[in-house]
Amino acid sequence: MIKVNNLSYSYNSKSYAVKDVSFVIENGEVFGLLGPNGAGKTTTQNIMIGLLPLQKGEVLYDGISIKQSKSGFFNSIGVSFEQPNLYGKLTGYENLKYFAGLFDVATRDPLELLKRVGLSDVAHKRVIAYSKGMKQRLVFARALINNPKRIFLDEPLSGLDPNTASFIKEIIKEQKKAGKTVLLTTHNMFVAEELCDTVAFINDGEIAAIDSPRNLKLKYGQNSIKVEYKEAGRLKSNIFFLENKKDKENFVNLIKTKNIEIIHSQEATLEQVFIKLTGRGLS
Amino acid sequence: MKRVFILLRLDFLETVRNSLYWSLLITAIVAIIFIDFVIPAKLNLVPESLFYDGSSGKIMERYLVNSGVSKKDIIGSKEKLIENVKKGSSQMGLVFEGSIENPKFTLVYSDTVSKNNVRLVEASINKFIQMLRNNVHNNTFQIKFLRAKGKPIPLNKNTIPIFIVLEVVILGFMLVSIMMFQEKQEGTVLAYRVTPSGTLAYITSKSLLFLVSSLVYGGIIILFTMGVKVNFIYLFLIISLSSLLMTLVGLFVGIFFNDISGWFPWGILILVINTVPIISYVNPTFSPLWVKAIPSYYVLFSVREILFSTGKSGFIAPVLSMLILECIVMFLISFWGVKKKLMEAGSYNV
Repeated sequence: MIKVNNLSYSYNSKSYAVKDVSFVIENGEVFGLLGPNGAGKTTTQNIMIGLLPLQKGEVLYDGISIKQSKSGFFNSIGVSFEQPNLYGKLTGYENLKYFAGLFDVATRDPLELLKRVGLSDVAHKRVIAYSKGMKQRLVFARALINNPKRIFLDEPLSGLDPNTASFIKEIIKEQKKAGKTVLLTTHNMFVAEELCDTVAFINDGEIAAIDSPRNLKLKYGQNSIKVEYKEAGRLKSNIFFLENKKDKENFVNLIKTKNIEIIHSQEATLEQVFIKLTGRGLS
Repeated sequence: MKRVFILLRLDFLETVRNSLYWSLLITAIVAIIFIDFVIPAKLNLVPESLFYDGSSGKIMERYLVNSGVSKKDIIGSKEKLIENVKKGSSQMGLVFEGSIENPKFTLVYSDTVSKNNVRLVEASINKFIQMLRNNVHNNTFQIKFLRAKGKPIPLNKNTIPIFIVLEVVILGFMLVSIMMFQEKQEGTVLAYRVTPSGTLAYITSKSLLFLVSSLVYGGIIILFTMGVKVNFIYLFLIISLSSLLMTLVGLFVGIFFNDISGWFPWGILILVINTVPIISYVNPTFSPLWVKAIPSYYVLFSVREILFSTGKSGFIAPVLSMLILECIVMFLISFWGVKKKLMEAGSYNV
């Protein structure tokens, strides 16, 4: 179990990037930190993996503080960074092979991992020639090289085409099935909804809500109506929550005054819940 | 230890795939060509000269020919000599007129001339006059050698220690910094930090890489310029310790910068400071205490002593001891710096 208690972090002592953040990740759970860019997701992850020091609060792994953990702690975690940080002059295979040698535990076969993330064809090509998506996949594969118990994935699907993203999602699901604990930071509500058992909404460094995606929608979500209409020759759209009196009036007013093209009734999305709780969108 | 070798292989691949590394090997080849074929073994202190003897008995001309001066350097008229010097066929002309009892010498130069050269020519003329007057020439001074007199070092070979020291400084100090900037820019330092490998493996791997590179580079230069009759044990010890010292200095300086542009003024300053002892090496009268405090000073003279023994063999062991001590101190400083500024939580901007 990973326990994060009252975590706060400031880069400049004027404002906090993370403010009093607390949550618990159970073993074998996929936990998502969902929030827009600059919300404090990566800072939280970096404190949890020891890249940033603890300023306030604590992070406990099975009851042991990260402050007390030895270098062997890194044998049990795998980290995928948002920015692909790879040795450009080395091939994909060499990147995994030499990285594997830095751990004290049994590691996975680099070629098998490369095949798994769809990079076997370019395994012996230098990374400098890889596309952003290929680099992202290699960083993801590297996070799994030491067969870690806990996996930290920072925006693992960013920059990937839908097809590649889909098999990376499959690998994450496999890891969950294998009993691994996953912390996933994302600003993509669909990713969070599809992969996470628990989602924490994070905004301006603070946790706005934590629960399963379903519970969050049930608790905070409202059914809504999306209206697409034309105004001055341009297509526009609005979302109305009919339980809200003002929204109801605005909806009726729009129907009367505008040239309506399409009306959708829809259930709440995580983004709508996020907007409702924080007053801002995810992108 | 396993991690150090893995890292060493990784660092080795990263380095040999860097064009800068190979350009340094080309520098080694250029150095060999310069030492073996371009720089002369001996340099004339007095410029090449033309002579005209206007005396009635042509005493100077006879003396010069007997001394081995080529007849083509003895010109038939004063005007022709001046014209030849003007054209630049020679740097200096010497005109002798009058007689042995009442000699008149004229020096002809087309360019500027140093006072040292004028004094050397003056001394040579005085000696020449005394000999022609059949006087016994007695030196007014004696030379007493405190050590066994060593063989004169050919000028071209005397430059080898300079090339060796420059290489050690550049390879160790500059390349390790460049490597560190590349790792910072690629973000691979962050990836490294989430592995159980720590500061010691990081520093050891880089130190070993540049130590081996320096030995290969130095070994190639020595082999192709001096052959195999060299005390390679002492030589490799000096190169290894110097390389280690400069790599550790490079690691420590590199942690304060994120790219080469920020590093450049400071890095170049340190490189220049380390080349100042070359002035003392070429001109030993310039050896103030602050120059002697620069590590490359003793390395230069030690390499020379190893290659061309001048009887100062007792000089090498203290230099090795001093380098070992400097390496230990610098290792502790670099270890602390790399740990605090690169490896510890929050030490490097993530």
